Amino acid sequence: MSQSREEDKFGGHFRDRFESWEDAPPADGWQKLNKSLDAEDNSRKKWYALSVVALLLLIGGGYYLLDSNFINIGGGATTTVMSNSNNDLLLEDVSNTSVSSDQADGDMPSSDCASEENDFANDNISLQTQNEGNESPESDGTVGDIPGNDKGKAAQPPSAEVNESSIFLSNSSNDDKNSKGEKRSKSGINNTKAKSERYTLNAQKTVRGDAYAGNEKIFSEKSETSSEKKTSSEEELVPELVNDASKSDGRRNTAAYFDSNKTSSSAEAGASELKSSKTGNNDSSTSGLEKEDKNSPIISYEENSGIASDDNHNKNSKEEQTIEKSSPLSIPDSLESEKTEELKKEKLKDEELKQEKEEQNKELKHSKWSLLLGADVNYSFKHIIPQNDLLYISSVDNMNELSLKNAGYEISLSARYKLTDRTSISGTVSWLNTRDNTSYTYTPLVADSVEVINVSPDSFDVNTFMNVSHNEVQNSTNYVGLSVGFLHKVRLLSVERSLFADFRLMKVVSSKTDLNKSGHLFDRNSTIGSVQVGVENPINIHRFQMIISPYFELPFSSLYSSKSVYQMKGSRVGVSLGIPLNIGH
Amino acid sequence: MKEDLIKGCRKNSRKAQEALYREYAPKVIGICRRYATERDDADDIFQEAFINIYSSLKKSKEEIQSLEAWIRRISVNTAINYYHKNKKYADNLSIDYAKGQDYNQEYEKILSKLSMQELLELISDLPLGCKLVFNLYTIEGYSHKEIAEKLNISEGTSKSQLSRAKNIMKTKINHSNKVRYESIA
Repeated sequence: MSQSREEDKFGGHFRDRFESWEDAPPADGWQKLNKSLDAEDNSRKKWYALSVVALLLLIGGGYYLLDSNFINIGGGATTTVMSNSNNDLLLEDVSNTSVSSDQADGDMPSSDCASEENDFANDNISLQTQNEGNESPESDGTVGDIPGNDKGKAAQPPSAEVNESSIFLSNSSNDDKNSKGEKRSKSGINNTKAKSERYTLNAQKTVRGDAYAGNEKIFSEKSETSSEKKTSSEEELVPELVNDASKSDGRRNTAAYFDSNKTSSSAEAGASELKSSKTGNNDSSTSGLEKEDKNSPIISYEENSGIASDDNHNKNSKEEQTIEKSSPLSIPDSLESEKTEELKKEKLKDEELKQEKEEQNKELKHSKWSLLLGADVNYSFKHIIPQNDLLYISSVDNMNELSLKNAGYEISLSARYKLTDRTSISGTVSWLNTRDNTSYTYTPLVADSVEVINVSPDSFDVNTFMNVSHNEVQNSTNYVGLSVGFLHKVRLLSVERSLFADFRLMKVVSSKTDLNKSGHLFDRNSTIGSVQVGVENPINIHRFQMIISPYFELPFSSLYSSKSVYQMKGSRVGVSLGIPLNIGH
Repeated sequence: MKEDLIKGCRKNSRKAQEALYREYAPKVIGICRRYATERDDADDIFQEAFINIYSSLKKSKEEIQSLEAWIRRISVNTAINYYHKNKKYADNLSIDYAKGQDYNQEYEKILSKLSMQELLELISDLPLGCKLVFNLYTIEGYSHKEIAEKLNISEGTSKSQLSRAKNIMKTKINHSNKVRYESIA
């Protein structure tokens, strides 16, 4: 009791005097501290910047991936849309043609000339038929009724072909004429108006009656009905046609679709057409054409337009001849559709060629650089080097136990540059997490306590007491890694694979030690170098290419510093799953 | 004032950090010198202690009741970690110390007349393990159980180290010229 009181007094001397004892700090204490704080801040900023760059690269890669997927999808969609749109366009062309015909005086696009040609021919032929109906009624609906109308001629293939197709043409014109006649006789609407109505009808036919057979039926029916009605209407029609200036205006306006510059002389052309139409036979009409080829502005238009030129006429006439021979009842709409189909095919071919070229260009652009976005799991094997210090680790209880506690992960983004067809170099930014769980038994080398026994004047014995203890530790460390490496393609097991080797430098970003109840120190080495080797295996999943790469990684130094309880120079194995991304678009 | 210092340090303000340093550096160096064997070691611990103080302030958002006590605790822990890291002490048992039984009964009087520097020398000359236990137990007021946990030793070892530290100090006092002079006087 008295001894403990003495002990308290002894300690009290020190406690009283040292409890709030102050001393002079080192003279350069703050400067040193400031420097180390600055260094720490700079280091942190540097790693933050690197992390941001890595993050941006990842985001960029992700965006690129999404973007390229979008483009691919978009590309497919564009192709589809293009082809659809082509169809639409072509359909629209047809409908536009009809509509523009319908509008009669509207601004017709020049590309619609071909389809316009047919309507125009119908129009002229109907006019001719009306004229001839006046002067030579017996020729109605016959081959001999082919007018000498220069426009009709211009729009139609030359004589022979026209003769064959004119069966329908004249009939349809009769129909038009009859309908006009009926309308005029009933409501007194002028000829131009009636003609525009006919255009409307034709347009509707074109739009609605896409099926050729349907059209043929309709037209054949109409030709029947029109021939019946014709006799009643033609008498009224002819005088009006002769005197109706609007008729020629209508033609002029239609011609204006093709060449607005040459509309001024359309009235004269109309007059000459009417004159030539009165000749009433094919030869004369042909000769009329030949004459007007030189003088008529409409013919000159046709020459300039490149649609109704002689060569084109010949080509068109051949095509039409074949069509008409196979189908004597073929109609202008069907020819038009044939043409549109041909145009469609040509356009599709052009697009295919364009796409091929684009793909080739893309391949050329993509050929050098590529990205690989990867994620992997790894397993750390432990090679523990006990420290030569106060602790003696007598055993490690779970040296290389297969456990998720030893598994980490990695996310990486690498950029690759192709040196040759088979060899590439790569640079990678990665975020690596390693984990290791170690359970070990240890004994302190310094005795916990000693007992002095058998004290004699010459000698004494000392008994030492050391606790045998157990500790379990779960370490987790996050690194930011930068690596450079090369890849070489080889053919392994009949598949092209890439062997790769990377040198990596990893910097500790954060670390965590759990379950460490004994207070053992696990100080991480801030920077570790390692070498990684592996094989890249390409796989295709539903046209989606991926790369599976098993690898082995060997660090050059211990994960833990010499201040730690033990050092660990563990190797790592892992499997990486990567998505290759082409760049350069 | 102290709240401002804490807030500034949490925002990594260099001015606040310097102000904190100016205010608490003398106390921190006092602690460090008690735990270190040499002045250089004390300076190293001191530097590390302040870095730990700043980083702990940034990490911890808890309210600090007594900044001085908190800084003291961080400093002591830093000194203990320094002990763990460097492991310089090779606590070879000194037979002389172990068997030393000749206590001077008048050491109490002598101690009271020793200067701070002399007392500090007494502590500094102790083996590292004994010094740690003596400082933690006698001056910081930790129990043997707490010391055992902190130093990763058994409670018995903590007690024996303390006892040994005292014996060493008493022996030194008895063998010092001053002690003899005082004793004769």
